[in-house]
Amino acid sequence: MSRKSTTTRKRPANVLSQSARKLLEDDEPMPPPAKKFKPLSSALNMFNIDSPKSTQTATQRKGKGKEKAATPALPPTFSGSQTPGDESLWLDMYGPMDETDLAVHKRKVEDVRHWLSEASDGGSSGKLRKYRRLLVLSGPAGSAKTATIRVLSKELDFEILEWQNAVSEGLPSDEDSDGYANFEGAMDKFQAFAARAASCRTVFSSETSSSQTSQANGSQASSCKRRAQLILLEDLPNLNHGKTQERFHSILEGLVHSPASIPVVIVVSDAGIRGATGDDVALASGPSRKEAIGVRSVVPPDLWRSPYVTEIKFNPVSATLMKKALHSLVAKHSRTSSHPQPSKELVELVVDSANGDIRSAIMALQFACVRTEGKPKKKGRQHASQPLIAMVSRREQSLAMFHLLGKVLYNKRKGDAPAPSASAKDIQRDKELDATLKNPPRLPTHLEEHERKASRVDVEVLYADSPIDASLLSLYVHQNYTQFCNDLNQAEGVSDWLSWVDSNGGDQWYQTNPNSFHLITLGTLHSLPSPVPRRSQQMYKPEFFENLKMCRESEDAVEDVVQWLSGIAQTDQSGAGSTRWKKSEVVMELGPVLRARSDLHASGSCLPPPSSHRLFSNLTFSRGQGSKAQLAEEEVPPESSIMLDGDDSWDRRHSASSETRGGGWLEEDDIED
Amino acid sequence: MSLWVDKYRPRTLDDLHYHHDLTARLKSLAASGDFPHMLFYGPSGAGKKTRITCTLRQLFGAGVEKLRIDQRVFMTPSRRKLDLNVVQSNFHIEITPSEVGMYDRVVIQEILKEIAQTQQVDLNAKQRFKVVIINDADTLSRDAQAALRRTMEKYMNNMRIILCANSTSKLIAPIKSRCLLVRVAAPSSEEMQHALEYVAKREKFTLPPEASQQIIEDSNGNLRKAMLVLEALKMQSPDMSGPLSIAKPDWETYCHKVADMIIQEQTPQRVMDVRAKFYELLSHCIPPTVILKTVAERVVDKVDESIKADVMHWAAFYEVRMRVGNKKIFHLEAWVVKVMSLYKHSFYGIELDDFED
Repeated sequence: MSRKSTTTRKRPANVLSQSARKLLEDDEPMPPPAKKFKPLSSALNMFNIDSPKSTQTATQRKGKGKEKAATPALPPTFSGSQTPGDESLWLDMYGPMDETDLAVHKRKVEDVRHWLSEASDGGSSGKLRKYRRLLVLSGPAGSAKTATIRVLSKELDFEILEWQNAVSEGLPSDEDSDGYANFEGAMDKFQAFAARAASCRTVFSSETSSSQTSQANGSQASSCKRRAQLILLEDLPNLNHGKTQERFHSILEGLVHSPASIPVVIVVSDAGIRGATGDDVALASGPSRKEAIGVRSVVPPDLWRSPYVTEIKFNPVSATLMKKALHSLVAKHSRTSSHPQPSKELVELVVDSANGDIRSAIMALQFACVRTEGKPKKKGRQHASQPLIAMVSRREQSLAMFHLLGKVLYNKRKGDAPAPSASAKDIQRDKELDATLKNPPRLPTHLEEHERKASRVDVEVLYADSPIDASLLSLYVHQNYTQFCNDLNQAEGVSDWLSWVDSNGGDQWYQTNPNSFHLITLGTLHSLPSPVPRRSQQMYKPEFFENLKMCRESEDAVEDVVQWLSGIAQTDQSGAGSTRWKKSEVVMELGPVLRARSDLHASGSCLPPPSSHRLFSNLTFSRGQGSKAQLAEEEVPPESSIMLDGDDSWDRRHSASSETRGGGWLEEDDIED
Repeated sequence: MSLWVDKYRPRTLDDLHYHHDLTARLKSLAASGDFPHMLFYGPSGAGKKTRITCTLRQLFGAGVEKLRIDQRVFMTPSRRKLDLNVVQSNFHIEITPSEVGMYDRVVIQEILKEIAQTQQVDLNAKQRFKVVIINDADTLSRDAQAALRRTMEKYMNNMRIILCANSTSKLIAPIKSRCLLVRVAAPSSEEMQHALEYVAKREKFTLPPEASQQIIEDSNGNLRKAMLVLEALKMQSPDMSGPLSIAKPDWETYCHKVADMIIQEQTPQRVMDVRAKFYELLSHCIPPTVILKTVAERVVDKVDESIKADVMHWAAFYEVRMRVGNKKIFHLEAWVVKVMSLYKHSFYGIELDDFED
């Protein structure tokens, strides 16, 4: 078994190295798409491994290194290793001071403010305070979650007690002599922090904040007035570890139910769903899915269902808001420093390439300015530096997803007629390319149906440049191939290849087929018609992930129903011996009964099933097409943007269910008080 | 108020409504003191689990009905965490390893080892062994079955295993040979009628024979389904008279409509439409194998004799791929395209006159 897998692994390496050698020997077999920017070749070289080093690249290296060093250690702790001539990160220098600076939609800010004020004074009825115990802010990275909470807590005069995982574990720290002398596990520290934060409210408020919490605002420690506090958890312990997670959950529950009633705010950045092969397995195989840190793994499930938890979801920062924020930042910057202001175009470029992540946008902007500051004489060549900036600031993988798919799906072959929109230069280039392509040998008559002209697509180059892995590529191809097929035979070819590649190889990393990228590409190219007729096809993002998300929700609903079933069986005196329902039985057989029960409950007789059962039991057949998210030309293979424009029907259903849930416990609230 | 299925589920072997010779055999087995490993198999809704619980009660007495449900956490060798719901009493433990997908071997090994290493300490216990019930045994992976096979011999002293499966064809031979095979056949119409009438009597209403006949026909030998339908009907029209319309589950009608879509039109565009429908079904947690099976059966009903065999052949072919692969939708779709192309070819190969809708 193991021997087999090693041999299969060896082969592609040879193939690759051979082809790489061929690439080196052949004189420019195919110009990479980026060759368009001639003056930028040096900048391009920066991304390649070995390249002639010009003075320009040297300065860029420095800049890039700095960015890299700075990124992981983001806000307050970061102090060292800065390039001379620049004091600190713009992120720290020009962080939002008040609400107007925040690049967040007003309503979101209002939601958070509402929650915070209710947490401190109990809202209009004064009763809500009890339920405003845990706020979860979720959203993609760089959507200003933490900034919002900081700004608002300042405005509403909250003192933030923040937990940070200690880095120097087990070593005596020079500042604190008491806590670190004996070794204390990270979770012990966290527990102690939670206990202290929850109990030492009135007396030691300033001391707590100085020992384990950050918020080094001088005025706060000195003010002896009693201030409202909130606990901010952002730097979460390692929740992938089972025991740690359990402890974390129990601590969290303790905090929520503690009498001191300090509101807790948890900031969770979506890890995003990736299409990597390993993850797929985790995604596809039911319950073993708690790999990525999601809201549900942070908050214990019972708490999640309780009324004490509120979740506010942040969206990626919209382009207009980000532009506004960046402009005001630039204005601030030019007031304090003598450096030239970055141009408007540059700001726009940065906004475009940031993909809703304001943190990376500011980083990119600062970096871009550092570069232009260093070379004032280049001022006249502003135009030339634009694509460069775009290249530098964009994430590495953004290497035109759109073009990759286009290459695969348009299936251009030697001698194809140029597209009507092609320029003379393009035609010329195609001709040159065709001249280098050798005609494949003729096939014997019984294989004639497989005869194709030589392809203009070089799979090896594609593989090297591809921003995504084979698994994600297969999803994209699957989403889009039908538009490129003329008849069913071609579709049959593509779908069969996709199916074959997906079922090939095993679940472990060493069992995966290393050639799957090539197989998908070549299989698709072979099956598609040649030439592909232009019908103004549009590329869409795979619906797969949204579907998976909905599937998860329904699974949770099934679980709810299973629990409901055993619940009602136990209340019944005769139901003592009943067994647990199987999930598949619930899904496939229980639908009509659940619906009948829900209807019956409307007239008020028995304990209703959880309303979420509609997620799996209610399926209406409609002719309409599901809304699909189109792939934009500049699209970055999305980590999180998959969820940007979600399926309408899903949103509708989800909001409906959350409304009913909200309604449910508000009634309870009135009864209890 | 629990569902009627749960409420009127027989608790002891004497309560069982049908398969009386099987009941007698189980009773004598439980009394003999030499209880073997067992494998209950039969179609869904025939009463396998009910018979298992009744047998347990016969073995251990009423104490076996004191159940608790735990959520157990298992760790795979690759440090992945698995959650599994475990139902147990003092005398037995019930697991459904298929809930953790391909990591079922870990669960089987851990649980069996744990049970096998603990002796029954309760002196009043009727039996010296504990029973492990493994549901969905036919979906166990090869690895898990192999793990099971060894332990079955090794720990015979203080453990018995009861497997529950729909068919024995997916179990490896060594397991089958170590178990006493018990086939629980689907009840006949009369037996179902009897059971339905029993419930109606206990619920104090009269069940018109036409209604029960309709329910029995619809449920196709699945007594659980019949009970559920009965309850739903009773809730919809309390007097159970007049023309009854038995509501099929939504997913089933949906699948049938998908099959109709496949037959109506065979173009790449239609493939896209069908895919959207499949996505919808999958997002409602309908197992992909069930989707494939239901749609395929419907398609087979509608197409010409000459391609029926091919349709099923490809359904089986892509079902295997689906089990191995990760992205179920690929395989569902590949099958659809295949069927469309088959259908189209047969359609144009033969003259049109056979194919009036």
